[in-house]
Amino acid sequence: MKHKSADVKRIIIFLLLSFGIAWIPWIVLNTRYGFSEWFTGEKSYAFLWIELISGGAPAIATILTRLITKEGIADDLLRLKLKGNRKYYAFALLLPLVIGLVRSMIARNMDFAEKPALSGWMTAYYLMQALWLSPLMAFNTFGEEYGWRGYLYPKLEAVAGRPAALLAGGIIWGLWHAPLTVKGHNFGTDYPGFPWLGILLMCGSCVIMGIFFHWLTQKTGSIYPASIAHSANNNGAALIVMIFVQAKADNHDLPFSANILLLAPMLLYLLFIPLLMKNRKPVQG
Amino acid sequence: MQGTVYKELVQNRFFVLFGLFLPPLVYIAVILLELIVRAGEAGLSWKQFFSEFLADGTLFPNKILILLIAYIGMRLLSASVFSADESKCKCFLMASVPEGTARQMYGKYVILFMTYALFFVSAFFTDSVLSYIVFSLTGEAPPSMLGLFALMLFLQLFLRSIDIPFMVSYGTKNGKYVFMIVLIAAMLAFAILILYSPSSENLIRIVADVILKLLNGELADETAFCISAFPIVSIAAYLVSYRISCKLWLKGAVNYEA
Repeated sequence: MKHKSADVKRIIIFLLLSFGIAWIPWIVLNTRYGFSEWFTGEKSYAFLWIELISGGAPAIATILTRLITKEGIADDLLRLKLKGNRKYYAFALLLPLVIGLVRSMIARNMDFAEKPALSGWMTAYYLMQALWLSPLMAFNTFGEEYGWRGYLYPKLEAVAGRPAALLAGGIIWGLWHAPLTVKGHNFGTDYPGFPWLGILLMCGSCVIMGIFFHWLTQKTGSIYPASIAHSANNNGAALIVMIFVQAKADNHDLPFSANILLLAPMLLYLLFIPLLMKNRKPVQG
Repeated sequence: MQGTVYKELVQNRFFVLFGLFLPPLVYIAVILLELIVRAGEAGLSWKQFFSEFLADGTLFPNKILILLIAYIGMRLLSASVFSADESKCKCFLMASVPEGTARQMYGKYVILFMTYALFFVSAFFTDSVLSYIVFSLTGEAPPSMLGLFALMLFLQLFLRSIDIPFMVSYGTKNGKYVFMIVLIAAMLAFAILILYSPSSENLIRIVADVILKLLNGELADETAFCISAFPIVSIAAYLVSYRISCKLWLKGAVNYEA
């Protein structure tokens, strides 16, 4: 009981810090420059360092919470744990890319967008790029994974059990993106029920993706496979979708109905629920 | 038990910190260099300074030149990762534990990769901060260097995958000579290129233009593919190099001092 109340206290501190560190700069930038200028515009490179810090807010929050509550770092999941886990590393990279490929094939066949004529060389160029860009850009998603899968999910699991942790963790993760979603991130701004439906969809997709990322973390006892999978989803799969349909990587140019349909292949991640439920051992570093 | 990666991390903490802090220092050097060049123009505001810096196109070539020097510095320091354990006793002790050879090499390869990756992240972060400063002052942002940093990271991994087996089998002293030979050959090739280039004065500008084309995606399809395949090739080379080093390490250790 004492452990549970300590975990609840830690979760509250962690959430306040994660949301505060990310939301303050996002709201300031949205107000001062506008979302399209700082996040997706031509000059967004100048703002990437802010994106890196705010995107890494869950990691900063984890470190600060551990310091404030004197928790220590014994279970921080920072070891690579490559030995015996190479297949999970490969899986973390390839599954999101395959799902990206399925999403782009759906989009190409459903006349959602322009179908660019690509030479064989250029297709190979983009596919190759998706393969190395995903692990390379994992430094950008590491901050989120270190916080969500490395700290929040195990704490929620200890307090409320695994099913509740997967659901609550995903919803929290989706809500954390809200300042970006309300400005058009992922779903644009032109859809019925804007922006609430977008936030709801974001929470839904985060719950689903969280299942796969948590399974990877639980299997390997390391945070890096989940970081690679997250990056493969954000960078690699987005790049693949961009290759086959003439749209921006983050789907801003696709109609809302297309975005909904393109989320469907991600339901494949639900297959990891039985695997997670079968093996109930807690995440261990 | 903490493992060999932890041991390498503690042993090579200064090298790791060097990888982290070198990019900001390099950027400060670029700005100081430009300040010295433009020192004659009294009363120049920061806005004018950065506007001119952007307008005459010296920012990009300067950054490339000084980053290249930084990478050479990184290479010279990376030898210290291996020289720290160049003792016959240490090597045989390590080899006596289960999978000792593989674990020793694993620790070193991981720490080298980690430091180069840290250098990449730090360089990207610093460059983005500089872009933000320039954008805030002038309303213009320099082009993204992310692609170039990535290419440099994989080029470094490729080069290390060649010279590490030499360092492991001949020791870092002799390994350095191998690197020096390669460096001298490269400098000779560069000198010949400058001597016979039709526009030798603008050579760095020409190289920068090719890189800009690459960053803007204006290269021919085949060339673009070859460049995009290079990171995969360099990672494969790094893994093969690890395997070769595992095989050569104990043979090389025989020649180390006690």
